Amino acid sequence: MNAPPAHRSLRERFAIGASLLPPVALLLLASRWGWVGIPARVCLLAMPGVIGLGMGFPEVFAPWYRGFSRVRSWLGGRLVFGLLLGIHGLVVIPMGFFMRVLGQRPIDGARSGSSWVRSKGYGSLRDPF
Amino acid sequence: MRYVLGLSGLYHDSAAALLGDGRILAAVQEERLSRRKNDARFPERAIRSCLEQAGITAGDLHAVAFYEKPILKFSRTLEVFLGWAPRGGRAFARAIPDWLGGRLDLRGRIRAALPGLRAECPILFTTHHEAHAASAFLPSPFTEAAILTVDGVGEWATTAIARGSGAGIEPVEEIRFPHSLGLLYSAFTAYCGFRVNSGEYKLMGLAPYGEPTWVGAIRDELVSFDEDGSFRLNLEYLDPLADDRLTNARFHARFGGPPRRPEEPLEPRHRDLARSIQVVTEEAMLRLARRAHERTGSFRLCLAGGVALNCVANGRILREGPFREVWIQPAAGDAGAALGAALAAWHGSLERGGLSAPRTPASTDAMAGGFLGPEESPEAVEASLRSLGAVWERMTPEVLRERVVRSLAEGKVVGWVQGRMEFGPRALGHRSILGDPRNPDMQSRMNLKVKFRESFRPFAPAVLAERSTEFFGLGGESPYMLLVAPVAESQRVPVAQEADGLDRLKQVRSTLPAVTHVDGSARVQTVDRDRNPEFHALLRQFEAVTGCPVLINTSFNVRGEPVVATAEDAYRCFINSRIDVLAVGPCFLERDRQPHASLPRSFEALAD
Ligand SMILES: [Fe+2]
Repeated sequence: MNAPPAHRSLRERFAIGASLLPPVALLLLASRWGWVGIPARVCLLAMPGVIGLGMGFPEVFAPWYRGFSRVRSWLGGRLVFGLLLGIHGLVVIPMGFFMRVLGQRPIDGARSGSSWVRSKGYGSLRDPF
Repeated sequence: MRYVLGLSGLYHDSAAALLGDGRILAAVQEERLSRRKNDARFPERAIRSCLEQAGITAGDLHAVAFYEKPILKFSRTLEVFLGWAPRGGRAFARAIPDWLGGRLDLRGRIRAALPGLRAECPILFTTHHEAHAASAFLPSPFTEAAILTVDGVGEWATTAIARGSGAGIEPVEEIRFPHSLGLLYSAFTAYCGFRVNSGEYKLMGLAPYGEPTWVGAIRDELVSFDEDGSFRLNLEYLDPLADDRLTNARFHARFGGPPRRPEEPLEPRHRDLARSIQVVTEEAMLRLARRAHERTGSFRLCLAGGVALNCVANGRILREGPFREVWIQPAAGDAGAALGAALAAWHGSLERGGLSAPRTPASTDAMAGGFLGPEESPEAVEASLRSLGAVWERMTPEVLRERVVRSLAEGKVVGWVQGRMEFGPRALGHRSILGDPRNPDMQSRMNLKVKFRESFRPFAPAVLAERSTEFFGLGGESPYMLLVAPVAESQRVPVAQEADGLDRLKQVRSTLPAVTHVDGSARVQTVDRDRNPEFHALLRQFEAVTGCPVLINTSFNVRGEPVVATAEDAYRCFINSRIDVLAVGPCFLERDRQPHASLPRSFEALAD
């Protein structure tokens, strides 16, 4: 027995359709560089059609969309990781260095002496800080 | 009735707790319902369960309290990255997306998870250690007490002393990150090949098999104690930003080699390290307890925070510390902080944004025996079993007890699911696997064949409270299995010649060999009729048949699985392990009558 097709919102259908664009865009680039015989204009004109195809037959393209989403989030994660490593190198390290030069030490790394700090009270419950 | 919901999570052990006019109506850990151990995700299922148990909706809530101040914690995280630079780049790149992905805007996240919450319902934030302190003192039976909370890290505090009086808690002093007893213990946990934030029990269980040969090295180089009870860690050996590892190359060189991988065998060195860090932790906890007494003048102590789950250290505080009475929050880890946040909001002053309710301590405590989770009706249990194709007999409680006791006396292992689920890491006789403690083979049989876990892991005895002193040198009650005490001399059996290492496991040391650790101690649960009537009746019946008022009580789960919550979880676990008999609600099931040899499990398995 076939399972009934899941209800898909317009937004989801559009996302599935849009996920078909990257291969067409690659084709467009390939035609610009003369690697394939399809005129670039045809690729451009095909784009709305491809989106419509995905929106019209979401079940057919759902497996592609799932794979595409996985690759996209993996790539996104790598990109964000790289960007944040860059921020660490360009911002955090120099700031940490200057703080140290100015005698500021956010981490109390002393090896001896009491480590008790007198409590200042819990503060207001309304504040998240 | 006025309702307050408390929440914890997004770091580890998410949970929700619900108060109705200050009484604890429900408290649930997310992992039990999501079936992912130590689930740290926002506790949506736990919230739903709490509201359902009370029969209310989000619109009925008068306040919601979260167990941390997220912006303060975020600013600490940034400051630590600045202070730790140029190290910590990878940790920075891993941590920041988490923060930007919703940990900062908790008000928005909480409102999204509670549709129907009234706009005027305040969302409040305690500090992490305030939530722990509130969970330790406010449900306790004391009108005044010293409060000691010790864990990995909250916002900045890792250890805190406070004074509780009436409905108020006044913070006194704290030790701040990176100096953390919890992080130090976790560093050794990871180094010995166990998972941080859940493998600490394993390290504690391994400790009695080793020798304290590394205590000197730890004290000389890793942690220094001050006369005032405080301590400092030597950061040259630790990497406090690496959540999963915490140690560095210098540590590895000093302590005898690279970290053990989970699948590698345990060497004598790992056992000695486990023993050594346990000794240092006990010493540190005793010093902290003495300091808490000095600073507050109280002879009563309330304990919470992850390190307060170290029941060997707790037992020593009770026996050797300056306190006459000690009460420990059974959900001492971050799950219990959800309850603490709700209680802090309920009793907090109006100026702070709390509901300023007065407090009258309960005569035992306000935890209802720790049985604060959901319970399935007999009809729901039968419907579940029917849908799984199980074969069962429905019985009255008396007949069920009789059949269970007969099975236990025949040496069978019994799965026992009755009443409301426990809140906190220990199974206290509502979601338990039970066995006969007089049987010398029971420990290794239950470890290897039932729970599929390491053979050295100890089991705990549940004993009738009224007969506990005949068997254990406890000096008080231990209803939440949070104290380790020596097995009474009268029950001890002399050991001809002490074996080595894990071979010591096989030597009989008492009349209760399956629950007596190699050092002659046991992690005791005393069972009384008031808090735990069903389990008490079962123990009475076992005593009537065998003369022994003690049972092995271990949590109903297998390795890597959260404790079972429902009849379905219990049946799947029963089928997939070697449990002989299952008693769930009014239903009695025998293994050899079931049509299944195995079933798909209901949990996400996690590595060690
Ligand atoms: Fe904590």
